[in-house]
Amino acid sequence: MSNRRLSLLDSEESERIARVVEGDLRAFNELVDQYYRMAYSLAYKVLNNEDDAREITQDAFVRMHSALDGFRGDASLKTWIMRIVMRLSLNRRRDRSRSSWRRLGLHCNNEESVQETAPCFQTPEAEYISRETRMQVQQLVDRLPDSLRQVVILSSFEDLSYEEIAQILNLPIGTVSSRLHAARKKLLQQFREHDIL
Amino acid sequence: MFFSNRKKQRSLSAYLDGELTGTQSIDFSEQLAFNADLRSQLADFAATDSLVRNALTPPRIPNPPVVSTTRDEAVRVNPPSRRRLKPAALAAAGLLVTAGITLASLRRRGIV
Repeated sequence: MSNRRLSLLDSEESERIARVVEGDLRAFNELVDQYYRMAYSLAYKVLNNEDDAREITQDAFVRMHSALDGFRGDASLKTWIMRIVMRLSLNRRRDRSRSSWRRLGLHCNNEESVQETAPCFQTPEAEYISRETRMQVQQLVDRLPDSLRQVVILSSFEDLSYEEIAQILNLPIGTVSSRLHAARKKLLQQFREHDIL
Repeated sequence: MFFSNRKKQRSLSAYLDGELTGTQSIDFSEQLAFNADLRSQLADFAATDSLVRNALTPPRIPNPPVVSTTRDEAVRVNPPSRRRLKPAALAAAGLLVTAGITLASLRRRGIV
């Protein structure tokens, strides 16, 4: 891979990518370790279901592994992975909304249906608000138009800048900024109507 | 620096997200110092963000899967298939048994 292609990557990351492309599974595990939490969180935020999020995250890393050879490096690896996860999650969400079970309202609520299958990291944020408030907020975010919801979800990652969100969603930065502002106004209004704020 | 109402609104989000440049940020801080409504709106947006962030965060994050690094540790994707006799082998076995019984019967009668 040329230096130009990997201009946005630091040397450690570009070296690791080269090792993965050469078939070094240890290097691939390091990449998975580094980005798994972020990728899983994004899938969960879009899908609101632990099983789906786990499956999509694994699928994303499989795709990443096979596509890494063609990775151009014109975006950071982080935004590239986020873009893959976002696309897969949105596809899953679309397929799920078409399912007859969901149309009939027979789908399970994720929180009740989850069974622990692997050791998990408990996030401190999850304990911060009540279960009821949490579900209300999730529902209100879920009801936002797609264009606003995607920006809200990505902006909930504190370390993502407008520029990175714009790269992930393939939008101009100004559009990200205006959508985020519109989404905040809309959510604030809804939170007030539901006595959440 | 004077901010129009619309620009103030847009800048509010950008300020909250740390997206204003150094100078813009200083200018906007000055606006905030003299505008109680703007401060209140900023606080509302911050509270909205906090709620959304907490509500969307997954309650648990599974540990990343480990792809095995040696051939011996290779993860078996498909379960091993059970050994099954193919139909041709079963037919051959049946033929052998039938031939054996026939031969024994012919011997008993002294034909062979």
